[in-house]
Amino acid sequence: MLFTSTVFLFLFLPLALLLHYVLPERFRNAFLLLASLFFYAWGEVFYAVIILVSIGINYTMARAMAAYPPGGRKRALLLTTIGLNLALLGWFKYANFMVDNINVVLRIFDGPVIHLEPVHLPIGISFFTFQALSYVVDAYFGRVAVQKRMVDLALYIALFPQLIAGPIVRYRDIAAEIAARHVDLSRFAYGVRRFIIGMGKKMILANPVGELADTVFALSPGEWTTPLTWLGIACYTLQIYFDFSGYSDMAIGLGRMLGFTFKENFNYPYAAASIREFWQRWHISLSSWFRDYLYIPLGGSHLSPRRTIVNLWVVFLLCGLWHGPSWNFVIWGGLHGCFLSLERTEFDRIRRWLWWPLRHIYVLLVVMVAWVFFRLETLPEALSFIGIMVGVGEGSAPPQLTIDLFPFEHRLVFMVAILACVSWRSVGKRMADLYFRNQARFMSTMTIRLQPWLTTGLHVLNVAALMSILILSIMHIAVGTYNPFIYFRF
Amino acid sequence: MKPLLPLRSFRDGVLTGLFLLVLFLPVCLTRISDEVTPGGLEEKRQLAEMPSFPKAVDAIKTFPHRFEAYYNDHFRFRDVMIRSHNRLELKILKKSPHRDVLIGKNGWLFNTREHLLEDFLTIEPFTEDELRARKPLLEAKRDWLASRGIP
Repeated sequence: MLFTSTVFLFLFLPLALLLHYVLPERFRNAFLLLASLFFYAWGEVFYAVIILVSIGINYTMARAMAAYPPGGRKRALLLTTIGLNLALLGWFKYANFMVDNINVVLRIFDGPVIHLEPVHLPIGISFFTFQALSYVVDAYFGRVAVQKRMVDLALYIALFPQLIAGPIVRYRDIAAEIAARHVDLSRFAYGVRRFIIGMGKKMILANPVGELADTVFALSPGEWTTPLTWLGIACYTLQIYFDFSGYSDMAIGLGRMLGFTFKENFNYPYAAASIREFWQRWHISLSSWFRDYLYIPLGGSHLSPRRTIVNLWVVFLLCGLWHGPSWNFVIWGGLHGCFLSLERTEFDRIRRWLWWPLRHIYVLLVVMVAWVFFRLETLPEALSFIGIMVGVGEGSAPPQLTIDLFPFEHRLVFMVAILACVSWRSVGKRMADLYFRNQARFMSTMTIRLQPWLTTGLHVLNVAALMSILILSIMHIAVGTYNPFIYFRF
Repeated sequence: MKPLLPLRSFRDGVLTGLFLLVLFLPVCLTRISDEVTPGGLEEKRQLAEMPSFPKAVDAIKTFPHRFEAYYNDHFRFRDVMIRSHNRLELKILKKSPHRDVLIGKNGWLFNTREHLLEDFLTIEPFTEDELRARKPLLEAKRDWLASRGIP
């Protein structure tokens, strides 16, 4: 079930909120679990069994681990649990990919090829598997207490706001809220605000720029021109950020409405001045997962410089593969790993030496070129696209594209989206620091000036703006259900 | 700063109230039936019907999809939302709400399906081979009309 579907907005969500708050507290977790499983089964139907299997494995194994003192058996149980989780993910997500690659090798040696029917990929399996893994590893190291109530652990793994597209929530971050939640008006309203902003990002910004990106990427390589490829990848760069961060905002907002506090997943990533900083701001829950459960166990940056670089490469190649079973994702991860490694060498001196706007341009160029591999399915297509971006092998655009390719609405959304990539609050603070030398003086000046009618006006404006975003987003959703056979009118 | 707190609570209350109203109103007012609301949109198609409760395994698999199709066609205020969206696009953005319709001057609307726009703009002219293939057809038609005294 999508957050931006009518069934979710006008049926599931109101009923879930209503029943959650009407029911006595002791039944709330069980109800939320049932609602979450229903939410998952709505899209996956019988494949919902997989999430139940995952819950069963992780609950049982964590309980079993708790019965042993630290040592060989406990360690063996942990490795078995990790293996089972990865086997589940490996089969459903990577089985076909692995067989295809094995067959390539077998064909070279004239061996018999393996036949495997396409395996269905259950939605969100990468997210809930990683959540479950973080729980069992943390339980092994004693960072969290083992959950004895199956319903509560199942709720952590299957909680519907973050179930199908993250953020990857850590058990220790919400364990206390699973046990007892407190929601007041201010927290609920914060959730509403985040949900509306997220929906606006998705429906008002991401979808229109996405349409434009799709138009460009749908062309054949012979039809791509240099300006078109730059326009296409710029639109995709905006689309993927607003789509994903919008979803995260909605998840964080829904969590808050139900009494859960999820950590932030994005922090203006395109404002980063290095790739390292980009990964501190992009999909934070995934990058911190890889940091804590792979990079640090591999030795992190505490070993030799060469080993640090190897660790970075391992983490980012696997991070690429986590996104999907395709070599293009691996290349995408590799590119990021490459620049992260470079930033740990003399190259970083050059980066630091650059004029500050050039540092941002460097990050945007690397990120945008890497997105080409993320967006296009095959390597030849991606290489051809990048070649045309730098003016090699340019084709000629189809004449239809000259009509209305970049209409006023798209231009407006494009500009708003670019402006929304920057934290204007930070810019304002920097400007204030610059002009007022110290922030305290500036804030006191502002407080005096904002009292009291302007403050009231700003609150009214805030509510009006949020409601306009909500209604506009719902209008976009409604229009998506409108399928007139217009030709019959003529 | 104390006077701000009640104001913030009031703002939070208004925002939450309005949000819940937007969420609950369509649920409360949607009627489970196949009726189309009066003054509804003319889509020239059969709207999706309410699926029956699934009894077989295959029906369970497809039930969510069929129910969503039904709900998408019947949720309350659908017509108001679509009309408002299209009016906004038309009045403010001067954009046609439908990709197959082009807005012309003096209130004219043009159908752009089946490459009609490309034909009008001569963006996709016939190739030499296509022209050669069409020539005898047109000549035959001309001769046939001429034989009936139509110039």
